[in-house]
Amino acid sequence: MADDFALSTPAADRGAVTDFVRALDSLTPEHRQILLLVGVQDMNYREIADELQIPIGTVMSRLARAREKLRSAIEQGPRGAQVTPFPGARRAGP
Amino acid sequence: MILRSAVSAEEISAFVDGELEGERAAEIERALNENAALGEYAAALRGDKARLTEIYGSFAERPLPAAWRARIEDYERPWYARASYRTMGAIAATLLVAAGLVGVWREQMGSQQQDIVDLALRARSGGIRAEAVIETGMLDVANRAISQALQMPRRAPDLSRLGYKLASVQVFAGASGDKPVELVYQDARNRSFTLYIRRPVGAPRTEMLDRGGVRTCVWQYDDLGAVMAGKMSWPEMMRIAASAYSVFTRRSAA
Repeated sequence: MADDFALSTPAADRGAVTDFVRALDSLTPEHRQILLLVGVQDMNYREIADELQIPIGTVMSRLARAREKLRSAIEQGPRGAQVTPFPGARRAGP
Repeated sequence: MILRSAVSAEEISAFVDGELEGERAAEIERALNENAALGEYAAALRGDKARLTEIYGSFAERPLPAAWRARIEDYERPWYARASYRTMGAIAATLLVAAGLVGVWREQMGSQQQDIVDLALRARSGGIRAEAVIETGMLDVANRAISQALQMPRRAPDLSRLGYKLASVQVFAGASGDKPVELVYQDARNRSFTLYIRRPVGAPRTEMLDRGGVRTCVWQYDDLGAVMAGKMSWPEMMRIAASAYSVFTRRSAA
């Protein structure tokens, strides 16, 4: 159907995209949500804090945690992508 | 240069987002340059952020309907009720990409199935004769009609907050428990859209289509299929579909 709205991804990149999407999908809704707000909607931390009605410090820690989880999920994916874990420096906050 | 304190994951994350300023930002930047592991980590975070934009960005800029049962239920948390258009756009982006993956799977499976969209559009155009037409704006009446036609409890979405009110309910012929229902909603300017609901036709699917200017959002899973159709912008459709489908996914009747 020519009129159909096509959702397309370049075939060569589809494997990596699929892995990434699956990794993102494996996160909790809260982690997925905050990653999307900052990465897709380009919202700053203040806007996210207002949107989610949480302190800005929570935005910061949740986002960092979400990113670590995403890295870990990508690493555990079917293709076992090369990942760079956070190199063990002190974590701030809970 | 001695850092004022150890660099935390939170700070690197904030630095990547440009949320740190002044002296601390400069310290973090120096640390990333001097410590290869930290630098690689920051680069990985930038890569992930770029990947998010690459995969989901175009969908978020082109807002489309959002709602698939499993995922929307994930989001049926207290914050969802107060979610802004931007948040919903972000959610829609993930759902659309997921839909794309489903589409790939269907393509690979070479599935042939009856098209629920064709059925919905035929019903919408009057190409299928209705068994019953109920001119009503009363949601309770629609709730009963839907639940009876499908023989499972489902509610008609209350979209009055979005400016649309129920105008009529049509029930089409079908087997017991498999009678399609079409809800017609109208706004104050008499703009309307239809919501076609029935038992699923074929495999689970989620798609957004434009058929000759009529935009549709298709959503079908194991026990329910729905097609929203109207001549409206994608942002408008997304706004309405997100609300409508979140109601449909709840299993209890009003």
